[in-house]
Amino acid sequence: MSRSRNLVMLVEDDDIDAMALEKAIEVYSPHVETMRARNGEDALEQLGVATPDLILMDIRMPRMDGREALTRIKADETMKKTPVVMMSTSDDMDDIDYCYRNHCNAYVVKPIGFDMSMDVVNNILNFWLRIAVH
Amino acid sequence: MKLNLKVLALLLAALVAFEVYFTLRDRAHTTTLLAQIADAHATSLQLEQEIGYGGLIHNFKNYILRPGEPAYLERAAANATRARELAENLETTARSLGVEVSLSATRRMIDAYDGRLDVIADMVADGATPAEIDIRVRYDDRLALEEIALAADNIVSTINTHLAQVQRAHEFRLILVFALIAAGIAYLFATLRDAQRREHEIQKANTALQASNLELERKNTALRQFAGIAAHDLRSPARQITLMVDMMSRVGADPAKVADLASEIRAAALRLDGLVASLFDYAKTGFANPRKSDVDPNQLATDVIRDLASEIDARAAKITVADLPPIHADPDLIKRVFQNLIENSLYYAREDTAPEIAITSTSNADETAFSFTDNGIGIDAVHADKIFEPMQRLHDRRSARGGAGIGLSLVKSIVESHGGRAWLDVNYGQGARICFTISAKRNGERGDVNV
Repeated sequence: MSRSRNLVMLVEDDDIDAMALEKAIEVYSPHVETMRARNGEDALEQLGVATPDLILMDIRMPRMDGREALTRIKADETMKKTPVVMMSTSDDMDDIDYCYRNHCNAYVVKPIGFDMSMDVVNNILNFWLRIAVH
Repeated sequence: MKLNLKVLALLLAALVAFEVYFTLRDRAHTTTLLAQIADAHATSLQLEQEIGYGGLIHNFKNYILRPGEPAYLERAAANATRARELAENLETTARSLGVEVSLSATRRMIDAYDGRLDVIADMVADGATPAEIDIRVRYDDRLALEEIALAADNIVSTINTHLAQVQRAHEFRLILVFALIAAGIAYLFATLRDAQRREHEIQKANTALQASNLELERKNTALRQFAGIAAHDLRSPARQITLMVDMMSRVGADPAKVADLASEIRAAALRLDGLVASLFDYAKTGFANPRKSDVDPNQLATDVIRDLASEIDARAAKITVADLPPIHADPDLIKRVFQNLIENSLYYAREDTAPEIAITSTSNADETAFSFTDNGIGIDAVHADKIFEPMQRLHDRRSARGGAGIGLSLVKSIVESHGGRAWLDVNYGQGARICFTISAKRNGERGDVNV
């Protein structure tokens, strides 16, 4: 299956953070489409029908947090090929350790300031979408 | 200095062995002494017989009367030899006992009779009559016979003195040994009782330590959660404010966009302020040591309902309070528990139904269990543990259901500081039912936690 445009799933409960991510993608990667899930549970539900090329996921979210959603995605035969980049405000070693042990593809601490946010998202997309399986 | 119990036991055993050894030795000594008495008696009797009217003197007189029968002469001579031996024996026995006995008169008598046997023989040969011979050889033997009896008495009384000494020494030693054994046993019991008491004290200290450890563990968990909140929840709005200020400088002069961002920045700042206030509240109340007194929970419920009157009225909520039994707890902290649970129920009420909250309780000897039951939107059983962790919102952060998210974690923290527990009744389906217990134990008793 191939698509003319890449699809990125944003799993983020905070509207402002989600808005900033969407803005960064819109500015630097106009060829990338985004879809939004508000928490881990919502993400898993949507992954049942959609097949994004990359998942950017927050950790602290209501209903199901990013740790649990990551574990479930990487345990699923069809979903586990999709790269998952964790993006969290937390630089707690416990979270970082947990995510890498459960096969996240990268762990990024959410950057401070608009310019750095843009750069970080741009770098992530450039790297992961280039190697993404089409 | 504490005497080692093993050493004490060895000493007691040694004392018993010592006593057994000396008792056996005394018995052997007594037997010897008694045998010596019998021996002395027998020897003196034999000596008297050998000399007396059945022996030497008897045969001597008969020889005078019947000179034609030489057997008397031989017997008398044999009597003399034997008597000398017996006298020697008696003197030896006496000397071995340290008694000075002299049988010189007896010896002189034996020698006298023995010597006169030849005189009799000569006179018989010369044809002298028995009467003539008797006058010639007469000998006064009374002194000698008294001497023998006296010697025997001396020996026996000396042996008796020895026996009495042995007996006295034995009694004295027995008293000493038993006194020592009694003292040892008394010490042993005192030591054992002491050890028992110490063990009891150690057990008590251990129980207290365990309770302290549990409480420390609880506070540690809370601190870890606190650190997690600081790492994520507090940084999040701060980061967003920075982000939106940056964006503001990029949107140009569009007043609508600037106003939007300004309003978002204001909301994030207010959220940050609210979070700091909640965290401060959690740190202050959640870590407090309870100051317990006798509390009437009915009064606490009345006070909370009065404090929350405007919110209760605004939602047309109905709160029923059963007759609650008195408890021993910190009134301010438990009031806070009541307040948080009622607020929680008001917060998560169904939008189309007037909230109804029922406060009930059950008691047993150990604790009182309180239940807060509402008819709200309810809580999924999978979140039964999560709801008691600080900053765990089950609903989206900025929806109408938001909130600082420390209410139930404070309930848990306060209840646990009272030695109780808090839980969600997952079997209740018509809303939410949150229960907690307060221990019936008073200050200083087991189960009372104070760090």
